[in-house]
Amino acid sequence: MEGITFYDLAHTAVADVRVKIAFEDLGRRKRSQLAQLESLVGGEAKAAAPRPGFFPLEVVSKVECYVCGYATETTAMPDHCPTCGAARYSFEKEISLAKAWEIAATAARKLAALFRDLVARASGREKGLLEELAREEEELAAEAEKERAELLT
Amino acid sequence: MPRLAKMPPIREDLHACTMCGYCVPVCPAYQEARWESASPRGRVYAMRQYDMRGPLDRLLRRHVTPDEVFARNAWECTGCGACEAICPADIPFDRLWDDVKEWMVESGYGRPPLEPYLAHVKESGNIYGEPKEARSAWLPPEAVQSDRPEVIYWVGCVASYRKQQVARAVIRILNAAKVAYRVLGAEERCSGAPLARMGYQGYVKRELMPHNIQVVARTGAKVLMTACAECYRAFVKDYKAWGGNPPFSVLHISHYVERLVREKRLSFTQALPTKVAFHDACHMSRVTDAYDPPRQALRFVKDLKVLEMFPARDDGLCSGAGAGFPDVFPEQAAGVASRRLEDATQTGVAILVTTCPHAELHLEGVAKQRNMRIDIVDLAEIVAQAL
Repeated sequence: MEGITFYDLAHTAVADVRVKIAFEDLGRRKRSQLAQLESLVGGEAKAAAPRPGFFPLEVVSKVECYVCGYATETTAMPDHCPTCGAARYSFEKEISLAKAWEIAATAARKLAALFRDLVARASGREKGLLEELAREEEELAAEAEKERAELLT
Repeated sequence: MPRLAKMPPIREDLHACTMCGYCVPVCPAYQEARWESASPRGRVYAMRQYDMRGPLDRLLRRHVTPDEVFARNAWECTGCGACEAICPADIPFDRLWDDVKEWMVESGYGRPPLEPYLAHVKESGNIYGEPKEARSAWLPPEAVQSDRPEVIYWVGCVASYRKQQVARAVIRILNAAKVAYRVLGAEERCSGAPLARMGYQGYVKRELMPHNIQVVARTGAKVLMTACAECYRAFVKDYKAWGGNPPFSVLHISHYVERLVREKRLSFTQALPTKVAFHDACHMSRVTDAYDPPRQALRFVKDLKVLEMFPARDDGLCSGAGAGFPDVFPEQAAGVASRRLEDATQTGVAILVTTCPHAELHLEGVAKQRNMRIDIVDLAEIVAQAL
């Protein structure tokens, strides 16, 4: 699932520990959703229907050293910059907590719509699970909005 | 859901943290798990959120109370002391994590795989649950115990029951130097260092510390000598910090060998023309600041080349054997150990020397599992071979 990849990358790439923890928690929720899906349809859930566009992957997929400009993939983020020797935090991105919740809320709304769409076509146990997932995403969107609004006031 | 016990007095330390993140990449748990919440900074952040919780958090039902997830993260710690060594704010993490783990145990979030250790120590005085009487079963016939010993050899659970060759090697060294020594046998109990890192420091403080100090003091010996990094740290750091104040000096075998050589009681005759790599045991190095004595002791051995592994000394990596980590997270502990073993193989040696029997057992297991050709040898064994 794209969500897991995104939240894992974001968790590694951001600098602020509050945002890191928020992303980690969101990633954990995505993992439990994937586990639910897998319990129903087996191991194919991961491979099936990779629909891009729900998460802004491009924001966190690459990191750049702010000292010398050396760029690398987030998955291979080094502890020291190999060219200028700057510490790990020279690669970390400044994403504010409000921005993080905004990303989470937008993605959750889109995913909720997707799940609702799928509910109409599914049947039996799958329908039940999808409905539950859609509800989870709606709740998440509401929670993220609330957190964001509180931060902005 | 278990009810959370009162937070230990660690508030000042939590709020001293500037969230700079120096402790994150050096933490062995983070290196394996790659989760912020498993790193020291993440754990401090979680506890700070709990400490600063206000009425709004309760109204909004935010999850700021330490729960099962936090407890699992608390035991991601191997007690290696890397975070304390690097912390620019000098937060005493080594003590702090012990307090936090104890807090979690008191709150009912203890780790089930670690409970047998406490039960075994309560029942039979050692972490393996072996019979008390068998504690000195390793004693070779040439061991001569003195009634008025100048030194007590503190064997420790691992050398008594699992790595008995270490204990026999120490006896060979003591015999060669004609030292009047005694081994306490069934009177000796676990020093409590592994238990304190697992979250049972209350029991160690109440029961083990007074008993252990008393049995050693009763013999009238002025020196306690051990060949176990964990036991050494218990006597040198923990007991003193808890007000035990042992009325004898505490030495590791490497200190003691150095002393014997300086007093001209011990001489080395055998040459050992080999190369070995030296691994700093966390409790001997970062925690108790004894980097040089083991290196000095190995330098006495003729023709022995001791190679430094990279990273070494205060940057040295953990073996992953501490704080019951291999029992709670076996895969991660094996990952930590195999990284350290790779550091050793990169120096091109076939022998790795260290001072902690716990680390030796763990590293041996992982080396065997991963088909790595490297022998793990205790410092005492190498020194005894060269006599």
